[in-house]
Amino acid sequence: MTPQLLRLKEGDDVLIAARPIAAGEILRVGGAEVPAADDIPTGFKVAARDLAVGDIVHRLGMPIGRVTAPVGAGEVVHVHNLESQYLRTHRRGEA
Amino acid sequence: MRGYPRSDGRKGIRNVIVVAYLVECAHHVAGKIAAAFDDDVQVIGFGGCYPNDYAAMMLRRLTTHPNVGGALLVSLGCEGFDRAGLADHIAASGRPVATLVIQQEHGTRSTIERGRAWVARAREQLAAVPQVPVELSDLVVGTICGGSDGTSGITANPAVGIAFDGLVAAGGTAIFEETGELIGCEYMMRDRAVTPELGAELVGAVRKAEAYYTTLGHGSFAPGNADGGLTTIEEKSLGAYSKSGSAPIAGLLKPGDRAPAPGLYLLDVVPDGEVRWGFPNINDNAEAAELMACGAHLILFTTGRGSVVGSAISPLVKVCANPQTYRAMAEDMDVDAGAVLEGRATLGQVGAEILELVRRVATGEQTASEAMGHQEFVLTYKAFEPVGPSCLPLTVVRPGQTMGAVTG
Repeated sequence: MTPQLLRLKEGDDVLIAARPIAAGEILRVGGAEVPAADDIPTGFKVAARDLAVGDIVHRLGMPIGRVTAPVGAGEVVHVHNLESQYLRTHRRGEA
Repeated sequence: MRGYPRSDGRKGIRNVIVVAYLVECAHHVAGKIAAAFDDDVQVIGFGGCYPNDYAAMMLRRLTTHPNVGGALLVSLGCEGFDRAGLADHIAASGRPVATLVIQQEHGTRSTIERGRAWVARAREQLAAVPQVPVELSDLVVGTICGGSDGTSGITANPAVGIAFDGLVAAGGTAIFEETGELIGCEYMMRDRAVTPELGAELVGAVRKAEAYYTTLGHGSFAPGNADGGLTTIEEKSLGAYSKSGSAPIAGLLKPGDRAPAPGLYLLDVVPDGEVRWGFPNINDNAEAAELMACGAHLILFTTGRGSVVGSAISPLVKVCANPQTYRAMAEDMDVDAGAVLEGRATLGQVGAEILELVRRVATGEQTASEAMGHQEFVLTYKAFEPVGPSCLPLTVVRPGQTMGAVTG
């Protein structure tokens, strides 16, 4: 049986979707139950707790970037709310 | 495992003839020569007309790679490549070699004809080479990730790390690379270095990569990585880093350097000096070529999005991180590491499966990309300074092998 969300390391700020999750499916995050706002593909991240602008996000205990917009627990964490502390992430369609 | 003994003490797990074009203008002719034969005659080469020390070094290393039994050089005639120097280097290794200059052979058709005749004779010669036993301690295995996604760092990459730990424990040599995709992991690597001086060099190599990519304007991060759920270069790095396993880091290599002792090495692929000639590695096969130039007999290639490439010279073992990708592209994959996500296998089981596959491929079993004829190869302009004295602290020499990293 495929689990829904993986916590790679205790204390991580994000959980990883271990399988595709459909919008509306109930996510169990930090003891709370939150419906998924959108479809979440395998390998994507959701916030393990509420995140504020400027927070440093940890995955597997390692910092992977800085929060650029508030994120509620269970919401997807990606390029729209997280940026690199090193190099800008280049997106398709950008110069 | 059985392989092909070479005059420098190394052993090949394949016995291919390479047809090497020395400028793009000779590429078509080289391809037509090779096309007359089976998959054991492979095309490599350098497209540039103007000489480059790095490219010349790379072709010296690759034409005398342990998996290569002989080489045919195809020159147009007016390009800058030192074809005589390359031919002498190959001849000194005891391998059959010939050079055809298209402008002296009266053009395309006659060069193809003469090239095919030479290759046919060389293949007969190579078929007579007796095989010798090969152990894991004889092998150099590289790893690359290509088309990473959010699953790569959870399944395929740590599974390769477990296989690397097993290989190193058995006395083999393992090489991970792509310093631009280790940004954010520099201090963890430093703490694994066998000496503090090497640790400082590892941090320096990542700093160099960061500066290089900053000048270029963006990191080693493709739009497809974000489509697959990776958000930042440091998140991609974290996943890539897990391919290195947990062995101590024994040294820092640059393209073409041979590991002086068994163990785990980092390959620095970012050019030295000012930013010239564009992106450090224009695609995954440029990295594969550099691992092969360091002697990699085979390469563990992890993918989440689904890469299909293979390589000339050294087999690529495809370790698929994402179970959905595996189901969609199973014919291109060798290992279903995404099974870990679905509870069908543990990381340890997939790591053991990868190491077992290394043994089988080293015994001659074809990988998925080999079976489908994939033989991609790319070589571009680059520039490197030799590694510093702190980079290779170990000088244990394996029986029959030359001491120290090969230079020049």
